[in-house]
Amino acid sequence: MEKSNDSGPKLVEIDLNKLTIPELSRQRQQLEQEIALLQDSIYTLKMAQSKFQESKKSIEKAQKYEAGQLLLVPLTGSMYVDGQIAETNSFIINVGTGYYLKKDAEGAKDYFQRRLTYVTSQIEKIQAIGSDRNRIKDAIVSVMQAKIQTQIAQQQASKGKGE
Amino acid sequence: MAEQLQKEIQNEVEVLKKYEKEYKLQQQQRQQLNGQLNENEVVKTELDFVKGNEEVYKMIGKVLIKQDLVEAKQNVLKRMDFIKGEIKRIDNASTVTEMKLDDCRTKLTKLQQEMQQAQLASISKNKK
Repeated sequence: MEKSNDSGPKLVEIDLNKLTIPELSRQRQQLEQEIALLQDSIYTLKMAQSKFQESKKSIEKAQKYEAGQLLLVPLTGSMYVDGQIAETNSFIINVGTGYYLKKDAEGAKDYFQRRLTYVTSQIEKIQAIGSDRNRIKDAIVSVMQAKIQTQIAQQQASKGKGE
Repeated sequence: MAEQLQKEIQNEVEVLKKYEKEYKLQQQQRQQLNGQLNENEVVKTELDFVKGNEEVYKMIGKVLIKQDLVEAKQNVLKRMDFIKGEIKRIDNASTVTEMKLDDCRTKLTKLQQEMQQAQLASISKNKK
């Protein structure tokens, strides 16, 4: 996991004015790539979040049914057979790397709640890092613009002398 | 003179590209391993949460096979140790590649500066 170091932004700001324009632009590019990556991760995490939420909800739904209740089980998209619910309080959940756990409804819901809390905290962390990176990028862009302007001014001044 | 420099620069660019590719591959592998480690960590914490009435299965091929909880925990830990070892190996390799990349970049800037100087020299000669 990446940690946002507290001394990082300050150090960069001190350095910024000493960097040349190409160096600054390389830094900016790197930051932009990083920001895009972070946004991608947030998107993936949000997908995971909604999946966990859905799973949790479907357990709650399944709990409402009683054993012995009739239902139609889809064999294919268009063919169904009669079925009967055997048990409504036992779920097998995939916890990753090929491991599955058989839990009762409460245990399964607890699991999804744990995953949800974890994913949500990760999203918050990444968002914090993202806004941090955005701030640094903005600082770099403003320094870059200032440098470009002074360079243009210098060029014009030297031209004026030459004439 | 200029031609020779040009050739040297070209060679150096090739080498640089090769190292960049290597570095990128290492980063990708590192990321993949990190993901696997995270997944295993999640499984481990979940296995630690397992209560008496709950059962552990592992998907082998397409079937779920019941596992002993203690054994499953040990297997996950073993797997994590293996992945950590792999991450260390990749990290070492990528620091070496990073050093090579830095070397290559400094060499290239030096060559490019020489090239510029040579060009400037030839221009001023032509003017005379």
